[in-house]
Amino acid sequence: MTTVLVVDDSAVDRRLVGGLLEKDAELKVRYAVDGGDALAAMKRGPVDLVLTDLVMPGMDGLQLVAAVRGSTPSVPVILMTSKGSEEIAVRALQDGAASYVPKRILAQELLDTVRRVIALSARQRSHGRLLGHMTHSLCKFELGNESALVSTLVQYLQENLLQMGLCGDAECTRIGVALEEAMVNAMYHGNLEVGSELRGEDDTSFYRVAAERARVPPYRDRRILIQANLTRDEAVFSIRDEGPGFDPSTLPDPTSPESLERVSGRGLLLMRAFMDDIRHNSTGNEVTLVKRRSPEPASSQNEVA
Amino acid sequence: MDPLPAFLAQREGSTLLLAPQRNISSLAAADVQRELQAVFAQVEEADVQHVVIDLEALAHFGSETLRVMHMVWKRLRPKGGKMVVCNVSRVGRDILQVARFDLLWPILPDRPAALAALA
Repeated sequence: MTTVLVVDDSAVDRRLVGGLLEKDAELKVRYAVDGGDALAAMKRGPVDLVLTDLVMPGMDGLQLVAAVRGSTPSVPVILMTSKGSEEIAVRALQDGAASYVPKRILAQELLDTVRRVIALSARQRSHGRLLGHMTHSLCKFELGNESALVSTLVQYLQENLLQMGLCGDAECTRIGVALEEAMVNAMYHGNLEVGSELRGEDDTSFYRVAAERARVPPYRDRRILIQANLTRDEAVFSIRDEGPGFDPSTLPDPTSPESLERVSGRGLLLMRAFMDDIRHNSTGNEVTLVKRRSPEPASSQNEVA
Repeated sequence: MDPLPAFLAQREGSTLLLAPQRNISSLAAADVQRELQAVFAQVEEADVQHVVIDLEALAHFGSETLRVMHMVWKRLRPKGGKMVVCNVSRVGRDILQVARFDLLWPILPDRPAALAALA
């Protein structure tokens, strides 16, 4: 039996929606009159799906979407929209709502939409549970010099870290920062061979040269090779570029007082601070980052990043 | 092309409030160059003396974003201007401390506090 919470400040609309849902014997319907009432109802008993009006006094549908995402992200929220509020509905989708149904076609679309969202939610929960049983993951990626893909890969690796329970949210964020630094270094300094001396006083020169080189060989064709070897106790990442390499010992110490005025070297500093070990190969075109599971006090498991 | 600007800017008197909306490292080099030119042009306006960097939209950031902040700060110094940072997340604070930039830029809880610190 799946419990659906119908949230609407109109008693007539609540009854209408409830009547449509009750045609499905697998659905059990509860009601709330606005967003605040909905959150209180969810505390009183588990809810599998929230179906909410958009415009309500007090906490509206958008705010309810955000609140549910924050407190119970596994519970999907479907919005019911009136004519003219489709733009807001799209924004709600971007903010995490699962779907929306225009009120004018509730009779035709509501049950199908609810069933589809429930089925997808069940698959996602099952998938999440399965990944929680994963004990070892080895994956390899070969990226071009694309900043956007670097960010996406970091998010993917962070999700894997969280699923395997190797770290909490804040620690995972820090690891993500270190990984992104390593990959961006591999791209700019490694593959595109754009050195920090170009930063100088005109920071746009660095990016202008990088953009130019990204279009021409040999720079354009170089790849970033990433390997992530994860277990419950340890994550080992290696990031390799196809450039000529460098000598890490030639970097100035960014913690020295005179270096405070300069900006170079902070990426390496962040990598060292947020990982347990960091090693470069002899050529200087591969870095290995290691993060070990540390016993955390219970209070820090939910540390907010 | 990404439709959203990397920085939102507004003025409060002689103070420029800059709110990064995404990590600089997620942008292509050509887009970073364009965004930086726009930001630096605003910072270098004659009647801009101070800058507030509002990091509310960034749960975290890296050395590229730090670099941009550093370049903004360096452009203020000849004018005798100051820069402060506000709305920093927990991890963001760690990043600023690791980079030792908390020694350069005061970290304030929110925009009103940041503006008050510059007044």
